[in-house]
Amino acid sequence: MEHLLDIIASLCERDSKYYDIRYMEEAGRFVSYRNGEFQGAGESLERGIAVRVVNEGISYGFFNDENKASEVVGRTIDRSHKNGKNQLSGGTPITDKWEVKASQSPGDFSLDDRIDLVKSMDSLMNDLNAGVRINVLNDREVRQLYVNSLGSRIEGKFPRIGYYYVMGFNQNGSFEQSYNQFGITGGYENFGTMKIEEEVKDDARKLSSAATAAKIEPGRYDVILGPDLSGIVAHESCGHPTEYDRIIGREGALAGESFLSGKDFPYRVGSEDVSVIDDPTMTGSYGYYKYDDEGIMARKRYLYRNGLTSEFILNRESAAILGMESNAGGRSSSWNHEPLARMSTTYIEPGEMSLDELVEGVKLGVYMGSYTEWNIDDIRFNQKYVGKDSFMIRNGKLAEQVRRPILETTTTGLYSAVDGTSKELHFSAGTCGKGEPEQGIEVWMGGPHVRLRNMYLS
Amino acid sequence: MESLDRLYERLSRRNFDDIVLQQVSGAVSQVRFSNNRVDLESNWVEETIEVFAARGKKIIAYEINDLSRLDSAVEFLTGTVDRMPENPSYEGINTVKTDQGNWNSKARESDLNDYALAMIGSAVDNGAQKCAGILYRKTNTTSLITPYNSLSVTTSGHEAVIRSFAGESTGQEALHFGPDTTFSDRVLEKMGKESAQTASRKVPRRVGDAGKIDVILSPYVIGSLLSYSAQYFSAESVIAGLSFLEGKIGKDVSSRAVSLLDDPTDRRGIAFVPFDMEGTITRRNVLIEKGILKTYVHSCSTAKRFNTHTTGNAGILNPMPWQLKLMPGTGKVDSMISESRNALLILNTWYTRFQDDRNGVFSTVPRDGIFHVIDGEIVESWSGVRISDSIPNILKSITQTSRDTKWVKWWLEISPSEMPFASLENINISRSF
Repeated sequence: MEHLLDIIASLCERDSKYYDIRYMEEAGRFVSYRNGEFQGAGESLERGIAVRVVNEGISYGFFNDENKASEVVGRTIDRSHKNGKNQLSGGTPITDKWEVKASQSPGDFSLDDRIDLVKSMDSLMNDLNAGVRINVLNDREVRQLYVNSLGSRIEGKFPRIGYYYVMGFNQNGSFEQSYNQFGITGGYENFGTMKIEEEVKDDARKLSSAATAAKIEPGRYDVILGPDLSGIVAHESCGHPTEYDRIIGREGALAGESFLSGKDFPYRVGSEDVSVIDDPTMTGSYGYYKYDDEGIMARKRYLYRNGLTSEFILNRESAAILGMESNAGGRSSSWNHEPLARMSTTYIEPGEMSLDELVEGVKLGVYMGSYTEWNIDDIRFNQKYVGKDSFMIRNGKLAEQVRRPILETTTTGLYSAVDGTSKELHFSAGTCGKGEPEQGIEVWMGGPHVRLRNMYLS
Repeated sequence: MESLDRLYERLSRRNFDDIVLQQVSGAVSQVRFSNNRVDLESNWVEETIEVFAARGKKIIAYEINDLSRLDSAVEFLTGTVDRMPENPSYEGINTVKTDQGNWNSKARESDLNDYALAMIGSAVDNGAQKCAGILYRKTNTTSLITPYNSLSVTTSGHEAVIRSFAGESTGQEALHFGPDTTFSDRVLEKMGKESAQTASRKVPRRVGDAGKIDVILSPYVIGSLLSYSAQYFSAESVIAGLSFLEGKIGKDVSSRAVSLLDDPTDRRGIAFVPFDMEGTITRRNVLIEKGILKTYVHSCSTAKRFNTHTTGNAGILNPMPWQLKLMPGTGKVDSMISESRNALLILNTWYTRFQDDRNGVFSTVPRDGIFHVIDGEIVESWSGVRISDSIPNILKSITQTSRDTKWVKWWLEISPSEMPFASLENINISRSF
């Protein structure tokens, strides 16, 4: 089917101000277990072409049957002549090939090995007395060819592996549950780097004791967020509000706009102790790419720097509004979705302190190691995190475990309360949702331990 | 269908006990707009085949959209199934022969761009400073072959979303239109007008208060909460230990004001579907009748485990409701508001997340109109609050539903459904500090 790219390009060449074409093929696999029972396994094989044409408006066509190419491309060109927004940023043409090599690619990892791997995790959870156990392993191998009217031609190839589990404990009528997701870009030779077994053991120990732990007394506390929590904070209240398509209203009827819409920049969001980075070039990360899905070379971006907004996440369309070139934020989850301004690996920049030093500086506080329920409003300002793996801090020391402390605060309230970050950096995987049709893309979220002063918890 | 027949013929020679082939061919058009201008027009022409095969209790799934490589599907399924562990939950598919019905429909060809401009114009004329939205026209042909049935349906419909902005305030309407519902300028202009009127309502705005308060939830809010709760009605969630409805068949799970149906047979909604993935004819199922839980939704496999019959909701291993309906009551929305002494009128919500699925403990973030009603009058607009409660308590706190309903569907947040307004007592509201 990829042989059609040059034919489609010649059709578009005759009647467009700009066009780009993506061919993508993908092989995927999954295996799942639930409560000791094998649930199923399967594979998928798909391919397709996306063509975007700009004239008086912007039009997209998507098809996976080459017999439909003429019909879809013709309609796409035709509809691009309807009046609408029609600015995309340009840039320098690029010709390149890139590949994330794997010594044990997903296609080489046997079905029996996959089944053994997932079954062993279910058995481990059972040994740890988890009453609810769901384990799912999935992977995909992607090859993509991108061409555009500027002269770019880029071929990319990469494998991704994902894993998630749900684990639940019933203790004396109380229930505690955990959802944990893992992911890498690379082959199965790197599967161990996700440390799933260690996470399961640690999670199980803390969940089973949390079920009988006491709730905290509502009030003001110093709070130390663990890396899982600082990661979701970076993702939700920095990454999303700095997606420039949100700021300019493109996602207004869906995920919403941004508290940064209409502001003058740089805008102060927090203390000088906090910076947040988005970096698609981090090798092995779940959101790794060398070129985005609009043919722009990836690079690291400071979103917040020392408490001020810095760069925004741009795709070609939103960059054009700013009169800039895209900084390679254009990502699409599959061949049949448009690239939107998306995150990759988003994290709070580590500082110089140790966790012990952060804890020593707290007289009365709460350590929130991770989280269960969370949500945030559509301008990414009012947010809530319910703690998992949480402990009181008394006189500079970790004390008794507490159950589900709730931090409900604002973006500026949270980032302004930061007065210290530890030096370690830990990432967790996620699937970030955006767009219509909705497209979930693989990301990492991360950070160090982060200390907040005088926060209200309930 | 030709590809499907060919694939079935090849697989049927490979000694599988069950084979399910489902081909979906879709033609979809979309227009997106924001800041009162069209952003993008898109069109999709796609087809995909899903394969499920079983040999005894060994099962395997395959999905392919490259129809030139169907050989690889046959080789994969044949070469793999015997290496699978048994799935103890698998109990076979529907073996009853089903007659092909006259289910087809076709969406009227129309220019979605013109519809978008009509919607935008109406919103702006009624007070919106700007608006954003999406229009869809969808036509899908689904063909299914099992050893017992060969069925096909072409369905069509539309979806429309508009969100209006006026200063910091917003209003949103999001509806779906099945094959038997008219999609027209007039309906879209009404949506534009209503979203703009919500956004431009002239009342003071402030950060809301935490505490217990009565609420009036719009069809969008109750639709969103029930969409997120749909999983709890699946027998698979009950088996997994992740449903608060476990062990509750025949027991009170809500107030008597609640009767909840799953009705995929209603062609007014875009989730109209005449048969499930096992070839069972779908039907209208009563899930809750006047407060009492009547059934979970089942496939053949889950039904056998519960010693009952399939409800026509397969997903073979994970049955789910198709098109929920909270039954209307007798209340008028105006009266529900005017008779409230102290209540919140909440018109939309998003980002519902659970901390405890067994007990349905969740929070959700209201948006697009949170109005404080005192002595029957809307006196102010709130921001910065969430509903932080549990689904069991939500269901038990519903005191009445309105007689008017809306066919709501919105993005990830609201599955296609028909919902009324609902009044609830004493719901927990939290806020940020």
